[in-house]
Amino acid sequence: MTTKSERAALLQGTLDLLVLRTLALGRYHGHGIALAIQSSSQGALLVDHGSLYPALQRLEASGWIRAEWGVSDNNRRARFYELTAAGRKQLLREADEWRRLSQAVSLVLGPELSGG
Amino acid sequence: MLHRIWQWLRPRSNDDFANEVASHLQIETDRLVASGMSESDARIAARRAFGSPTSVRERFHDSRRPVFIESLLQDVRYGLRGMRRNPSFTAIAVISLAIGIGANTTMFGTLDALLLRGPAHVVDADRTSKLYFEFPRPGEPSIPSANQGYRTYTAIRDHASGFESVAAYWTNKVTSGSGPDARLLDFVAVTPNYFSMLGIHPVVGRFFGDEEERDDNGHVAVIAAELWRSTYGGDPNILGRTIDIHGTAYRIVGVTPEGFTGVNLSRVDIWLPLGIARSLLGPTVLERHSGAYWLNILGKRRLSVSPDRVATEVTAAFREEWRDAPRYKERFATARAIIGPLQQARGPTDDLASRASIWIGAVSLLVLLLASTNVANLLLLRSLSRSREVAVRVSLGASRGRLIQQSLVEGMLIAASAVVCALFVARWSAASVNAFLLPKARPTSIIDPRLLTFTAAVGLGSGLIAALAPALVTARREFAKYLGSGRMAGGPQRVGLQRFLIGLQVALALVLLVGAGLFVTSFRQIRAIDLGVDVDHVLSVSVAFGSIQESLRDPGARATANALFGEMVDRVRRVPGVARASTSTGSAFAASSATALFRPGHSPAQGSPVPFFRAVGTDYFQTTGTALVRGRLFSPDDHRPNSHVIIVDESAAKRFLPEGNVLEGCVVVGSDPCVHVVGVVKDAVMWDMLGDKGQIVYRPIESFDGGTITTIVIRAAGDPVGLIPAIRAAVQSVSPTLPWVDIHPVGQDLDPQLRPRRISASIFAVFGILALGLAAVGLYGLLAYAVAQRSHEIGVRKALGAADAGIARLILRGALGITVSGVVTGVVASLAASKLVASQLYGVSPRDPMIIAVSAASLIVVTIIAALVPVRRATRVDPVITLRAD
Repeated sequence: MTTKSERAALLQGTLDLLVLRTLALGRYHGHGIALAIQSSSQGALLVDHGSLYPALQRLEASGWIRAEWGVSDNNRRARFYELTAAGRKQLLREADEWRRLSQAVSLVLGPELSGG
Repeated sequence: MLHRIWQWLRPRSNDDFANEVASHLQIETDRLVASGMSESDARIAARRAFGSPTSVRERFHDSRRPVFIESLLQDVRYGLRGMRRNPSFTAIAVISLAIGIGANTTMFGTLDALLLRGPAHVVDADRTSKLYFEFPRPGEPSIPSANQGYRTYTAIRDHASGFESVAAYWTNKVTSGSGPDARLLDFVAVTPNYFSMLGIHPVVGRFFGDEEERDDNGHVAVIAAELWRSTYGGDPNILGRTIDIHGTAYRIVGVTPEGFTGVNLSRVDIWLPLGIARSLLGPTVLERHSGAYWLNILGKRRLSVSPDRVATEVTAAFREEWRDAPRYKERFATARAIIGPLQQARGPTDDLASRASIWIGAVSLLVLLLASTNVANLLLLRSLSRSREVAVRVSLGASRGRLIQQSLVEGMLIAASAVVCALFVARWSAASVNAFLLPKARPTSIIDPRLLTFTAAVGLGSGLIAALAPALVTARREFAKYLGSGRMAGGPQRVGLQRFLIGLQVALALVLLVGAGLFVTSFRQIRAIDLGVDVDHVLSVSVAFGSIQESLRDPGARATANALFGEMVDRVRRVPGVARASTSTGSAFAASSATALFRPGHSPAQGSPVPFFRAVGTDYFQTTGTALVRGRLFSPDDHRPNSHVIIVDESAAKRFLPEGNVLEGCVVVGSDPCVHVVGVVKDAVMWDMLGDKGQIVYRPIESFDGGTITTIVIRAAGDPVGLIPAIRAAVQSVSPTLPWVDIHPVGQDLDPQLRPRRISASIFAVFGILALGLAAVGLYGLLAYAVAQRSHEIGVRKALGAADAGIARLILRGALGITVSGVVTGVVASLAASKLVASQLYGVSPRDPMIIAVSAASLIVVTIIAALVPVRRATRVDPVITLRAD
């Protein structure tokens, strides 16, 4: 279990990317998405449940994901999301951008600094 | 993008979002309970992790769409509700705009095909030109012509270096097959480089090789995709199959792309090598000494060369080529080349169809303006009657910008509905207009990006025009005073703009009515021209035997053809319903040959004009209905060899035999030194209905040799068209191998001249009546509104003892005031425009006072009719009720 200080708060753009990435793996409802992000980052990334739904709404309005009401594993009604073709393209674009960005940032940071 | 519009139109509901949040909280609670938490603790924890559901909901709401779209949607819904609430208002507004827009869509489609759009599939159309030549002579109007000899083509090809290629083509019809299967194909004979110059590639096979230009011995043909599909079912093994052309089998070597019709719009079935002209026109047409003017020439300029430079080169090449011609000085020394556009309708030759289309296009713009004005007026009146409602909205905080936006949205909604209706109108009208103006062109679809764009733009424009005035009036108005007042204050004196708009409508309607009167009268005058032939009852039959030229030269072939025609006439005469039938050497309104005619001793100077010549069979004049003026018609005895008699028409008698009594003494006809004129008949039209008539010398066909029968004329007892199948059967019974037999009412020959005039007349008439109706609707709306506004004033007047008649006069005076000022403006406008239409009219002055008077009178009558209901309403105002309302 990681401590709270080690958990990164998500930037808005990052959340979009992570949601798209998660949905590339399959169909999830909102709660499931939050859990999936949390577990695939080994608990390092914590999704603010309150920000998740407006983000989903934004992605849906952009036509990158689409939603449908369904029934969850434990028999609760839930809104399930899945990636559209446009969303798949958007994911590739954003992932690319992210990799370029993180590469650039690590270049700037240079080799690991010894604690001082 | 579509997805986003869908999102705006079908927003996700707040409830749905709330449900999703609730579902999330439930699932989280379930999870926490499963991990050992108590139900109530889990619920609280889930809620805490989520944050405030209300603020999330707000963020959801804002994320949905920008605010202005929200307000736009509100306006659209409000506008739609308004349209539904007042269906008659909506219907009038939409229908009048739809007619205006539809008319413009239709005419744009025609004009686009005729003038704007380049020929289908042709590349570099802007560098490719059609060549015309004019031969200006002092004191004569110069008439450019596109028809040239093969010799001119080769001279330009070899010497005009500004062209990267020069091609030539010849358009005509040819018979294919025989007996009942025979038909007529539209062909274009071309030089081999024709296709490569226009950038056309075969769909299947190849086009012509260079060796096939002059020579037709290979007997090869390229067919159009349409013929490939219709006749050969799109057979993939089409290459190598043959098609019968004038009795010879031609091998199909290629297929042109779908929709390619060369540089003209007319349908083309088949493409043949230019050399085929040698068997169809005569073996010498490609020789230097040939006098035939039959080819159209196309040239593609090099990139760097200006049209002017090419024109100079072509002119020089032309004059050089013809320098040794016998009459070079009079005919060719001043020749000038014109580098014309590919579209024939834009070329220097007079084109009746494009002239008519431009006219009708201008008139349809006028109608659209009228319709937009009408809708503006209706909206304006409605916005006035809504003043209180609007005032309430303003006081509740609606901005002026918002009111203008709403007004514009309403206009756009009406325009959008009108555009949809207009496309339906246009689908129907485009078909009939094109059938009139471009009868030979392939019908074009209304689902065309250019046409749809144009229609949308016109709709947008007219919607703006219609909505702008109400929007501005709304924006300027002071609303405070409407509140708290039971009546709407200041109504009547605020209708100045509407009065002006209706006056404008009346003026436009008058112009259109005068136009309708002029064009209809002109058309009737042309129809009333004595054609010299009874077109209502006469049919013309022609048979495309071998080559006419061949039989002219070969007495044996001629005798056979004439014998066959004799047999056909005998059989046709026995068809029930046929009153009379006869033969002739030319069709009724066109002459194929000429002859000298003069009194002995008065032989005309070399090169002066001679009359036309036509040899006719027994009963010819009785069949065509050409009336005898003096003397007698041919007797049975005249129809024998060496009878030495002729009949002349009035023009020929007056022009060529002016000396003494035409019926007395000998006259010289051709090489025959003594022929007697036995009769004088009425003139018949010679091709141009409005041009010089007649000048024909008629001779019995049996009285000399050299006459080849080409035509049978038939007089029907009743309706001639119904007899055509029976006549066709009778003609074909003569021989099973007959080529295509053409049978048509003789009046059809003049149809190309009448058609544009007929459509001008009918369109002006339709538009004129439409304009009258629109003006009536506008007037009615204004008067009804005025009466409603003034009911208080009228009530007071009545209470003070005013008679009904006086009140009726009051209303009528207002209405007639508007109409009269509109009529005066309209008369001035039509007088000013009279010069423009003068050239389109025949037999009527563009300032015909009677037509102007009738148009003005009909507007006055319509005004009175439009005023009837409002006047009745005004006289029924009950003073007691009105006064109590205060």
